[in-house]
Amino acid sequence: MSASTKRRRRRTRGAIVAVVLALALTGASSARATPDFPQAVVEDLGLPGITIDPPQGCKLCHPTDSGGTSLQPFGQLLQQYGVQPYDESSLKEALSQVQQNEPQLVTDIEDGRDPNQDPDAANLHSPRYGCALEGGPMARSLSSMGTFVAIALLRSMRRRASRAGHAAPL
Amino acid sequence: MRASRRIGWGVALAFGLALLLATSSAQAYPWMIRHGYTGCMPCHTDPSGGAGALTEYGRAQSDLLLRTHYGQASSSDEADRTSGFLAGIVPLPEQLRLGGDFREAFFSNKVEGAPLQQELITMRADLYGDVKVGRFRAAGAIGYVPEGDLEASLTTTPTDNVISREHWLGVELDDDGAWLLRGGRMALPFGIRMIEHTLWARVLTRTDLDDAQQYGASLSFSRDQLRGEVMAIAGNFQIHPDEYRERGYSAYVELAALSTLAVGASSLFTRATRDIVYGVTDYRYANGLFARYAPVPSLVLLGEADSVYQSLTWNGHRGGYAAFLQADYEPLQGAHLMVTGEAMNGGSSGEPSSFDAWLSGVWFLLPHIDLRLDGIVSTLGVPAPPGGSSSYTHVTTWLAQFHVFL
Repeated sequence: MSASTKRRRRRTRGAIVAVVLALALTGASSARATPDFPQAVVEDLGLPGITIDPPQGCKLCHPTDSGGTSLQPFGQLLQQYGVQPYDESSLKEALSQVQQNEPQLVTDIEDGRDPNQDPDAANLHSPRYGCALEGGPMARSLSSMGTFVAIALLRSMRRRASRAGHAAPL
Repeated sequence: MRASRRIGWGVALAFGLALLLATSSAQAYPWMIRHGYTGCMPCHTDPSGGAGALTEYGRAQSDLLLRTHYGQASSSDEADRTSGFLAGIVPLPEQLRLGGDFREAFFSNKVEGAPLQQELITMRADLYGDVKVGRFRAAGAIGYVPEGDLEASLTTTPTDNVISREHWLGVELDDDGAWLLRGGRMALPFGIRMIEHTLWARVLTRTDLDDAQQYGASLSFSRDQLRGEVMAIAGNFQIHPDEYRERGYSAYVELAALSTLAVGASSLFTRATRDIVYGVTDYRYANGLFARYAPVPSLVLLGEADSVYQSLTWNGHRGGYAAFLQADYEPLQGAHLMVTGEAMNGGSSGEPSSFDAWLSGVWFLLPHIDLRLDGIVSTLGVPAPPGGSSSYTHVTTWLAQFHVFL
């Protein structure tokens, strides 16, 4: 797997986690798999059939065919344009907004490509968190290092205070 | 289909609750008004309390007034030496206030119709400090979270991040530090700043002490019966890209009519080009009233009611509210029994109001150590699906916490 693919996947995973977190935090109405939506996308875009993840087509918006609250970047985008579960008119409106504002994603679908693999889908519509440092094992190392430095500083301060005769009796 | 929809909503809301509870809590005890403390500054380095280090005086009061003394006279004027940083082992100069928090919890959550969820959660593992040189102040916090608190993250992965909830520079504008001008990342001044950061009033207004801090400039004051803070919000620079950052203001003012009664009002307005939740341009308004009252020293009543209105491009408008009332009874110093009732409506189309009740016990059993148990029963309103009717999902939550502060 290339480094850019890894980065893209990590970004996509981060985006999904972030949106689920954000939805959960505010008790927002969550998107769920709506069985009619894939067919509605086909009809709205005038496609010959399900071109992404046939036969169900759930993965156009969700990471899995079981749907749920997690969304792929394209699903997030539709939600941002106002899609409501079980409401095909809101889907139609959202798709027209995508067509207007992100036409390359619609082209992806029409050409049988997964728009979620298009870097534009992940980059344009998902918040990213943090500064520049990578987390994971590095975060744990930094935490340990920070604790070590803090203890060392405190010990040094204590020694200095003892030398100056200001230390509290132990 | 409707049953599965209800379960879906319940699971989503419960997952939200889990994530909320999976994140940190801070020291913020507004029920200290029972001892006549209407303001925060005597004990907290943050002028509005709640976040960051305690002052030396605050540490002394935490020893004298907060914990159980087991037969010793609690009215002694002299705090135990162990009230200091690291139990008093490390003496600090007066200008340097350091602290730390570690809070671990066992979390159990049962959503009607869904499997039981149980896990251990590291709620907080933070170190923080405040330096005062003349009239100049600098404060900061750093911590580690295995999960959550992304909006306070310094690192960039979905889990295992180094975080900084607060970091700011300030200058005291008068000799006694009643006026403080600050710039940096700070907790938003709004409503009652309290340890229960998952209260709907905090969540819906996005003003909790967990990871909802923002960058900006703030002016605070605390003198006699009046205290308040106004903050110009420049956005959370730990979120990228810039279009997700909220800009606006947040403010509160509180008047202590008596030494045991304080009433206040809060206001907030922000605009984000792309809202972190809804992903569209969002104008967010919140306004509210709050009060703290100790009719007798053993009982404190805390209440807050906030209206929240959001104008969402392509997603219409959402007008909702959140309110709570909490009674804190302290039959024995250091042992608290709390009952809290909440109501909330997020403002979705056709969303019925949600309600919950908390029964909580907190015991400050030793210097620097306390235990807490919460039982929460929630009735969550589920918006009506197209052509259907609204419904409710019931959730039962237990949370047992162990807390050590340095």
